[in-house]
Amino acid sequence: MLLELFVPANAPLAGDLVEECERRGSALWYWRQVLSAIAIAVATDVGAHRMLVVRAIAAGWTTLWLFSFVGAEINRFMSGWVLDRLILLFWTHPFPMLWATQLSTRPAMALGFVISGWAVGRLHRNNRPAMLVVFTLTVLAWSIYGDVMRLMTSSNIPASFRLVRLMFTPLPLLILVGGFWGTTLVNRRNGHESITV
Amino acid sequence: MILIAILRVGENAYGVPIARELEETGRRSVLLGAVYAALDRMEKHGLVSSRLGEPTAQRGGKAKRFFTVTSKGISAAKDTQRALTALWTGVPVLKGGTR
Repeated sequence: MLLELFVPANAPLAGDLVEECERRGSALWYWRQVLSAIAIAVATDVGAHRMLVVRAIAAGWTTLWLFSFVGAEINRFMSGWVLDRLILLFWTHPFPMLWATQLSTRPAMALGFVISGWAVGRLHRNNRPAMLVVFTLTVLAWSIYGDVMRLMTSSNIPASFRLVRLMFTPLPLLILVGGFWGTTLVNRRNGHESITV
Repeated sequence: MILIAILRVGENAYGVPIARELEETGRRSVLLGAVYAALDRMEKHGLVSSRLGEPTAQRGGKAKRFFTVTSKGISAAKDTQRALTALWTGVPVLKGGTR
């Protein structure tokens, strides 16, 4: 399924991997082949369409920026109405504090990632996997940098809260979910299961 | 190398036997994704042509993609052989085989 998503034009490669994996019987060999095939396909596509890469990154970040206005409203709701209910519900439990400091902004962020991925995917239907991967990597790099800087500068955050923050570092991977939303179904409906040589 | 591997495999030249041929002759593991990337580039340059076979259940319902070396590919392979032979001769350390 990963190969179908990331290397949609190469069904024979997926078949070759299935055939050879049965002969070798090694899951490690299979996953190495799958991940490297994805990396090679993405790198080849990126090398061949550099201007599209710039456009995909610009479109993705612009969508994230535009969504930040809606996100601010969602955050206000999460840290206001929802937090009030959580305090009433949990009272002395530390969860409302965790929600207020670490979790309340995550739903809006998650939604922003899904929507920006969807936008990049829709704008780059012919090169969707490569453009999504490149955009995701830029956001992931920004996310890791932001989290590392925040952890280094704020020493008063409890260790358990730091762990929660680290758990959410891969959240930008939701861009891929948004980007590939409905792709498999559409491809199957259009009969793109085999490639045209 | 891939061109020669296709020629050596013959009629049944699709991804798996090509990769096996490369592994056996080169004595190193081969990434199938890299083989396909190279084959795609070669097809764009007209060195190989490909056709799809029938999908089989043994391969998860996926078809085989059979490759053939074109006449342009054969002359490119011969050119490479000539160039390599020319480079090979006149290197004293390589005379009488490699160490």
